[in-house]
Amino acid sequence: MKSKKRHSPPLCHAKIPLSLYIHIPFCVKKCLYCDFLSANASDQQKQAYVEALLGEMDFWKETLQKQYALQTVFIGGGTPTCLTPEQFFQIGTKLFTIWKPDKEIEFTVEANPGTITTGQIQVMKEMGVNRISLGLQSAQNKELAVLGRIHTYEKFLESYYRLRESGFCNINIDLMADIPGQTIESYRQTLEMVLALRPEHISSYSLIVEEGTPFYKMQEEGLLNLPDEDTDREMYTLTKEMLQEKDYARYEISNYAKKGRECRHNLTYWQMGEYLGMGLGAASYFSGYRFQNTRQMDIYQRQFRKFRQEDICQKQFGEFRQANSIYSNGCKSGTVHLEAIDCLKEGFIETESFEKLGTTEEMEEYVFLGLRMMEGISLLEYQKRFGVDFRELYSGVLEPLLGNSLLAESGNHDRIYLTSRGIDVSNRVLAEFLLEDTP
Amino acid sequence: MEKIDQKHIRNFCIVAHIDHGKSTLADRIIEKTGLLTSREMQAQVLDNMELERERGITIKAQTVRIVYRAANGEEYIFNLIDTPGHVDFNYEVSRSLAACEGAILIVDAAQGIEAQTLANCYLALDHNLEIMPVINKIDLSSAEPERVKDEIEDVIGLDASDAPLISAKMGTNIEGVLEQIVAKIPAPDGDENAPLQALIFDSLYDAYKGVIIFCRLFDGSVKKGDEILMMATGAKAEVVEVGIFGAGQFIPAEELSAGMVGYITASLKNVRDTRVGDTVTLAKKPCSEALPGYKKVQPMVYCGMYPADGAKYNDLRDALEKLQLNDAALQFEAETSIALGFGFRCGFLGLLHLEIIQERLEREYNLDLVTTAPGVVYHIYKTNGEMVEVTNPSNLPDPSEIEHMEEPIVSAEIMVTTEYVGAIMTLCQERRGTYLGMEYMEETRALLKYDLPLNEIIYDFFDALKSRSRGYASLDYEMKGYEPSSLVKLDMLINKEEIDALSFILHADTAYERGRKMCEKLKKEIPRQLFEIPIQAAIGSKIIARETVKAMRKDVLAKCYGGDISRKRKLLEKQKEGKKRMRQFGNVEIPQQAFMSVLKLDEE
Repeated sequence: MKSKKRHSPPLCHAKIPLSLYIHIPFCVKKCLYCDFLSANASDQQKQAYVEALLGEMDFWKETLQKQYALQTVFIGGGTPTCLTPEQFFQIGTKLFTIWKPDKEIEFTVEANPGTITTGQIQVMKEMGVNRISLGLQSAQNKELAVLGRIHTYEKFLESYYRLRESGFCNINIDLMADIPGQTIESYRQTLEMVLALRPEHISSYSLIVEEGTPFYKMQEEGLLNLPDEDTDREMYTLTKEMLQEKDYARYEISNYAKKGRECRHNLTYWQMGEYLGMGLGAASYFSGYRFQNTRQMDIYQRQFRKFRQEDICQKQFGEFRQANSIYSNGCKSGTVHLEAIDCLKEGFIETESFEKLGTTEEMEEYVFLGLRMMEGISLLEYQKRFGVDFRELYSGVLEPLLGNSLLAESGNHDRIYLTSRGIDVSNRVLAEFLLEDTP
Repeated sequence: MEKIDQKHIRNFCIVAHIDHGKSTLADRIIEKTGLLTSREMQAQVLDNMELERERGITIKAQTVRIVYRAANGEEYIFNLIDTPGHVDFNYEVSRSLAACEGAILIVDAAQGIEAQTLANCYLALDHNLEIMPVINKIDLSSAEPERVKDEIEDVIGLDASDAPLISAKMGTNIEGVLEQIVAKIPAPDGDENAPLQALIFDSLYDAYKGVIIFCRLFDGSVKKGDEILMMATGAKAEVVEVGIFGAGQFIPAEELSAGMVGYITASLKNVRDTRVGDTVTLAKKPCSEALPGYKKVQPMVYCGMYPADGAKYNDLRDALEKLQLNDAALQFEAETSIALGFGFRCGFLGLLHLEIIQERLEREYNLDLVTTAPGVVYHIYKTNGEMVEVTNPSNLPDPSEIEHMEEPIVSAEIMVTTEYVGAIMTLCQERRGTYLGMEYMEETRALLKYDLPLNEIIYDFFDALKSRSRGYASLDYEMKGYEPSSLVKLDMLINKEEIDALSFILHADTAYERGRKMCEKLKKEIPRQLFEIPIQAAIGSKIIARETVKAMRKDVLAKCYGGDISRKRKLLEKQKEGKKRMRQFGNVEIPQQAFMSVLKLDEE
C-alpha cells in the first residue's frame, strides 16, 4: 500500500511549469570575445552529439511527462543553426513525443545571421518554433570584423527578411555596446538601423572581456581600444532613451520588448522558475537542485546516447539498480522507482556540478535574480514562497538602499525594484542581499 | 680556568661610517685569530639576527672573546665589542665605547671620512679611547689611501702615518691590524681586590637562561652565588652563572675579574632591571660610586600600532611584551582609535628602531599591522601653567587651553660633496632648519651644521637627503632640546567624519602642503563607492584642502541567464568578502590598505 501511494499522482493535478534549454555547442568560427562552450565540428561529430542529446531527452522523458508542463523551449549555443534541417527535425520530433503541448509554448531558436538556410527555416516552422533570436551585435561591418563575427550587416538583413517572409513574427536582435573602436555615433547608427527593422525584442549588452578569450589576451597586451566609462554610460543611456521612444519597454537590465513580447524563457531564470538544461555543459535549476551537465564531450555522449531507444528508461534504471547494491537493497519488489534526478544525485550520471540549493541560497537568488527585472520582486510573493517577512529580514539593508535611491518601492509598497542609479551599480546593491548563514 | 693577567687583555671596538666594512673586518679578525675555522664562519658572524643581515646593519651590540697568538709568541685575549651603527642607537654605542680601552677607526679608502666617521670618532675620543685608524677597501680601483690618510690627519688630527692598509673583504693585511691592537691599544688596569664595579653595555633575554647581562668589569670580581646590585635600578639578584663570549655562544667561567668582558646571568625576569649604562656591584660590598654616563633611554619617536585584524590584539600585545624583554628602549601602552580599534602607542629610539620593531612583529610574529604616522614628543604648555607631554595627536588639549607648544630640536651634521651643498641647504631650509655653519673637510667636501626639528627628520628626510645628493650625503644628529614652535594639529575628514588615526601635529607652515598631499593620496586609495565622498584636511574647523572621490558609475553584470547564476553568485560573494576587509565609517568603506599607504612615509 505504502509504495502504491508513492506512485499515485500528487493530490493537486497541476503540473510544474518547466522551461527547457537545449545547448548546441557548435559554431562555424569562435568569436574573439566568446567564452561559451562551443567549437567547430565535423558533420559526423554533430550527428553523434545530436544522438546523445536525443538520448538525454529520453533519459528525462518519464520524469517530465509525469510531473512537468512545458512552458518554453530555447535552443541556444554556440550556433544552433549549424545543425542540418534533419537534425532540427529529430530534436523537434523527440520533443513532441515527450510532450503534446496543450497550449502554445514559446519556442525560441538562436540563429546566427548568415548561417540560416531555407531548409532550416522550413523545418523550424514545422516543428513549431515561433521566436528567433538573431545575434547581430552591430550594424557596422568594421565593428563586426573587430569582434570576429562571420557575417556582415548585409548578410544579417538577408536572413532577417527571409525570416520575416516566412512568417516569423517574434524576433529578437542582440546588440553589443563597448565594442573596441565603437563610438557613440556608430552605436547610435546601429540602434537607428535596427529600430527601422521593428523587431519585437532587442537585447543590448556591454562587452565583457572574459578570461581565456582572445580579447582578454589582447586587453592584457593593451591592444584592445575599449570605449571609456563615460562613453559606456552614454551608450547605455542612449539605448534606454531611443528604445523607449519607440515603445520598447525595458523589462530587464539588458532586455527591451514591445508589449507582450518579453522573452518568457528568460523570465523563468529571473523568477526562479524551474528549468532543465539539456546538452553539453547546460545548466539546470530543477526540483530544488542546481546542476550543470558535464562539459566533456566524450563523457556526455557516452552516458546519454545509450538512452536513445524507445522506452529504454525503465530498463536502464533497472540496470542501475542491479549494478548498485545500495539500490538493490533499498528497492524491494522493484516498486521503488529511481527518478532521473536521483541518477544525477547518486553520480550514475556524471555532472560538472550538482548541489541542493539550500533555503538561504534560494532566498538570496530569488532577490538577486528578481531585482534584475524592472518590476522587481513582490514582497507578498516572497512571503508566500519562503514564509519570511522580507522587510524584517533585510531591515538593516533596505533602509540605506531606499534612502540613497538605489532601490524604490511600488505605490502599494508590495514591490521593490532597482532605480536607474541602482541598476548602474546593481552588483553593489545585490551583494547586500547575501545572507550570513542559514537562518 | 687559569687566571689571565690584565696585561694580556685588549678591550676594543670598531667604529666606522655605515658600509665602510666594520662587520667584515670583525669577521676577519675572528677568523684570523683561529678560534673558528673558515668553514664555521658565516658571512658575518657578529650579525646573528636575520634582519640585521638583510639590512646590512648591526642592531644590538654583540661581543666576542678571541685568542690571539702575537708575533712576540704570547697569547692575548681580545674582547671585540660590536657597536650598533645607527644614530638611533647612539646611547648604546656610547656605553659600548665606555667598556673599551681603544677603538679601531675604519675609513673607506675610496670614500674617505663621512659624517658618522666623525661622529663615532669624536664619541670614542670623548671616552678617552686610544684610536687606531685603519684604511679599508684598498682593493677598490677608486681607492686613494694616501689621500685618506691625509684627510684623517687634517680633519680629525690623528696620526695616520702607520695606519694599516687593508682589504677586509679580500683578507689583506689583517695581521697588521692584529699586531697594532697588541701594540697600540692599552691593557686594562683595574683593581681586582676593590669592590665590584662593572658596566652593563647590553643585556638580552634568553628563554632558558633568563636575562643575560653583558658587562665590562673595571674593578673587583664576580662569581656564581654572589648577590649583585644594579645601582641605578636598585634591582638585586643572585648570580647563577658567569662566563665569556665565544663566537655565537656563551662559555661559562668560574669567575670574572677586573679588566675582563663577559656575561652574568642571575635570577632576573626582565631586561628592564638591567639597563644599559647601569653599574653592577656586589650587594654586600658595593663600590663607592656608580660608573659615570648612565641615563635612562627615552623614546624619541612614537606611533600607534594596530593589528589589521582586530582579533589579533592579544597576539600583538604578547609579541610586544616578548620584544620588550630584549629591548628596554621599546615602550608601549594600550590605546584605542575610533578608526583602527584597539592597539598600542609605542615609543622608539628613532625611525629605524620603529621600522625594525615593525618588521620583526610582522615577520617573526606573523602580524599584519597598521601603523599610524610617526610623531615626536611635544611639550604642551597650558594656560593654567601645566606642562603635558603629548605623543598621540588625539590627546592634544583644546587649542583654547594651550599657551604655547614646544618641539624637540636636533643638532645635525651633514657631510656632503660640494656640488650638492646647494641642494642639501635647500632641503634643510624646507625642513625648517636653522643654519649654523659649514666647514670644508677638503676642497671637495663640506660639513653642514644645522639645527632641525626632529619631526621633520622622522618623515622622509633620509630618503630626500640621499636622492638630492645622489647618495653622497650622510647625516648624524643628536638631541639638542626643546624650542617653542608654531604647531598645529591637522585632521583628515572622510565624508565629513574625522579619522582620528590620520591626525597629526606639524608646523603651521607645512600644514597646507601636507594636507593637500594626504587628500590626494587618500583619493587614490579609496575606491569609488555608491556616492561621492569628500576628503578634507582641516585645522580645527578650517578646511585647508579638499579632494573628492567620485561616485562609482557602473558595476553591473549585463548578462545573467541560467548558466550564469553560479558565476553571478561568486561575483557577489567576492564583493561581500571584499567589503569585510574594509573599515566602515558611517556610509563609507575604507580599505585597510588605504590607511597603510597613507600612513607610510612619503615616497615622493
